[in-house]
Amino acid sequence: MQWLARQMVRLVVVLFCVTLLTYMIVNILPGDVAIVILGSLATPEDIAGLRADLGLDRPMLVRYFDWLGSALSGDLGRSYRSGEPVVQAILDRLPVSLQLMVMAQVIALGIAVPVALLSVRRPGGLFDRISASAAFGFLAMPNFMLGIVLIYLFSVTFDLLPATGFTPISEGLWENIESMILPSLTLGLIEWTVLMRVLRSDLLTTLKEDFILLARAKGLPQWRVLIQHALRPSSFTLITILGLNIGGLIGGAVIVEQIFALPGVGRLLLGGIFNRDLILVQGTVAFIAVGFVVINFLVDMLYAVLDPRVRHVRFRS
Amino acid sequence: MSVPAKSPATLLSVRNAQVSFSTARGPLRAVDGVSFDLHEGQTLGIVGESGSGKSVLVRSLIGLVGAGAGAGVAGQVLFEGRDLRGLPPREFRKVLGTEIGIVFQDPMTSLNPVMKIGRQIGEGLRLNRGLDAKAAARRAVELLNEVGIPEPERRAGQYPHEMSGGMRQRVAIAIAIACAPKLLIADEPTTALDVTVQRQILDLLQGEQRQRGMAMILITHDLGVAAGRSDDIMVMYAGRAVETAATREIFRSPRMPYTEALLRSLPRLTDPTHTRLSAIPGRPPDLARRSAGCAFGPRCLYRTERCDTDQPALTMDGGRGYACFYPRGMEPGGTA
Amino acid sequence: MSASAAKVAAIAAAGPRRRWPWALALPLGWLLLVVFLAITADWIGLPDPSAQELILRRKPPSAEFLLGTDNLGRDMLSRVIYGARTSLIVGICAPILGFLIGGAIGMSAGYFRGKVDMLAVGFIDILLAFPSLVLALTFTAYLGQSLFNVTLALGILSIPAAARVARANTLAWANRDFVLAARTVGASDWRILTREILPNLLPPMFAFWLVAISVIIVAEGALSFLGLGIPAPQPSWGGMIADGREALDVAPYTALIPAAVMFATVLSLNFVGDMVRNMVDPRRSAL
Repeated sequence: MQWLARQMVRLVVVLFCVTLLTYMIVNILPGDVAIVILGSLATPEDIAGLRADLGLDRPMLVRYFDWLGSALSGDLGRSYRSGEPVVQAILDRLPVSLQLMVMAQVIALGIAVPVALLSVRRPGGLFDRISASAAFGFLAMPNFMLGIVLIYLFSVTFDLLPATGFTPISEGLWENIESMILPSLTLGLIEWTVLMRVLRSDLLTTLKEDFILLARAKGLPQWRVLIQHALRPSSFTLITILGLNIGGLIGGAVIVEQIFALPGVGRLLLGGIFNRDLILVQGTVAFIAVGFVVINFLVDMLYAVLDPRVRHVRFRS
Repeated sequence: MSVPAKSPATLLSVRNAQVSFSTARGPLRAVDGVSFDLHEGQTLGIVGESGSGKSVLVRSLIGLVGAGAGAGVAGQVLFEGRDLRGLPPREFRKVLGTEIGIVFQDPMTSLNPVMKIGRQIGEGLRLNRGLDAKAAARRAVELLNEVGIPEPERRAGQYPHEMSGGMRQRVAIAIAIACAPKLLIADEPTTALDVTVQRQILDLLQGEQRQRGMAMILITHDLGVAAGRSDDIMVMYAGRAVETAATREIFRSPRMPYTEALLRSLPRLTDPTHTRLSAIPGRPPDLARRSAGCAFGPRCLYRTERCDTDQPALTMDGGRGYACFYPRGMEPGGTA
Repeated sequence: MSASAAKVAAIAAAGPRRRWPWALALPLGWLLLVVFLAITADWIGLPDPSAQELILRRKPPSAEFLLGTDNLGRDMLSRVIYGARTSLIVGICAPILGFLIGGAIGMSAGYFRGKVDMLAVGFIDILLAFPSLVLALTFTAYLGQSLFNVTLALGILSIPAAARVARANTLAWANRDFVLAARTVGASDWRILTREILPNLLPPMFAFWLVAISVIIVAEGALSFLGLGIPAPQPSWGGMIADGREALDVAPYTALIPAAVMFATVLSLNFVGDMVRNMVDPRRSAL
């Protein structure tokens, strides 16, 4: 329990520093927000007036706490461009990003688990070597490159799937999936490699255990031994890796949403950056970072629950 | 070998079993030409130090030598007259699952840590005897009762780590006898257990064997364990059988210097206090680098020149076998 | 498994020696080619990568333009090569920054333990609390896009990984006898760190550096692809891929050629890096 309290304190401190850092980076440029809003024809008096209005003449730390205060009560300000509350903008787009990430993970698992199981049936055999090479190859692909290639193959050449655009579920489940397949594949086809390797390694270790020997001594066929006896103990590391990958998945989502024009949080962020919409960017980055920290925290907790030894390790290496 | 009153059928017949592993240092022959017969209801004790090949031998017989680890297996294994090695995989697995039961050394690692006990016992029944889930579960509880575990229904729903070592080994025995096999193999079944529990487990094994009329192979490094529990003993050293005889004979008049040394190293209650434990000097040989002569030579008290150059073959002599040029208790030339 | 049976199986599983790879020739050759071209780019008579000739836009590869021209009529071959130069500069320098700072942090944390360790761990945790791409693009978006800033941003991103490697290795080495011996002789901490511990960190740091290069090249590519990396007229692979995206239906090579070049380079780097890592640090053989 004491350990848990320490973790919570750590969490809060990290969240605080993260939001502060975000605020500082975004607001670091002297390039003036007021000028952006008023346009380049504004007079110095107008600019000064707006700056005073917006409180931009106060020291950064003060402005930060102000912002933090509002944020904690659920208000991340309003976007300059659209006037829409930032929180609303984010929440509207969150489902799309979440769907993308979940689908990507599902695809990744759907490839990784069978491939790992098949590789392990005959370690060093043909399938094992081919799958290892394939994993190596896919892992080396930058996700934006894979996205472009997939578009080229499936949209341009064979015209099977839409290259861009998102159809919400409300307008048809099939159309929704159609619009999400290429984006999820882009992420999933790279994601599976790490999962497969970890699972394979874990399976190989588990297969050396005595209880596997006993299972075979009962006359169980190989596939049964693999699935019913070897898989469960080996999936522990897999779950951890899934959690650790979320950071990369978020970054990947930003890219993929941009390539495929999906209305997700990543695209919102990029749009905000290009439109010099400071408040939007501030809020979105803070949201993403906080979400990421919280998810990592939950994964750590889950890990500790499953394995009590972890509670005494302070630095995951 | 001892010949019981009526001649029961030969259950297992092994001829020239060999197992070699390809390692970075060259081929390593873990088992180098071992042959023996096992009759229904008979208990054979296979005794040897670590590295003598006893475990590898038995595992190779049932096809459990590490898959794909570069293991080369040779020799003939006949079970109830059928050549095990020639069977198609499905048939082989059927025989393995229904006719042969195995108990491993360490029940903490030989039981699946994330699967409930009842399910582990019932698995073989469902697969090999065609029982449905319910029937298998019921039978599992019966078996737990039979091996002496109190509150079997509750225990069936538990995981291995919730039980003590001795209890886990009882579970392992239950798994082994679940499908009513004809042959029970126990690979160092008590080595990982407390001394107080060891006897209980051995008694249980013997009891089950008698009750069900199974043949048993009892593998151990401890001659004392093999003493009261086996009909015949095969002593192994460096991958070969160096002495085979009825248990009584071995204890009464061992032929191999190695066996003699093993017997000598057993502490006895009748020894005066503070008697030094007599250990066999030296260490078992490196199986990757076999020398020309007798493998036990370097550690043998009676070693001669001949022992360094020629390797003694297993000489059969009226039911006994020994691999020595100068067997103990006999004149050179072989008269007792 | 009985101990000896397990031992026997373990020896067997150690496997044959790794075959001396012919396969190493191809990736290594590619890398050497890329590096060579990137270095000598100015001297081999390439057309100006920024020279636009709209009339010649989107021409497929030909004798005149070996890799064709892009949307604005710029020579692709020259852009790819200059892009290689950019990627290599960022890819090589950013990790160096990362392990100068990260290495120092990690070594201090591993050596001095206690409060220093706590602070270091905290600092690293905060850096790691951002999804890396998001942090990098926020950085370049608001501190300005330039080669320097991109390198700086990606260098900062590699600090945590470098610090971890340094810390873990320092922890392993700091308790060894020869360090204790140095202490008893009265050596100062600085001396111990630089003379005793640092040399032992170099192999794993080198291995880390190799891995980092390809990761950073991809990261720079991603930033440039999004338009937040190397600023516009300067050629970069990511930027070229982004440009080519619009023309996928009419001139796919404008995107696919830089993509292929980038993929080949990253693949080769990974391959060579893996080999080197196995030689330098054999405990960490491929997962």
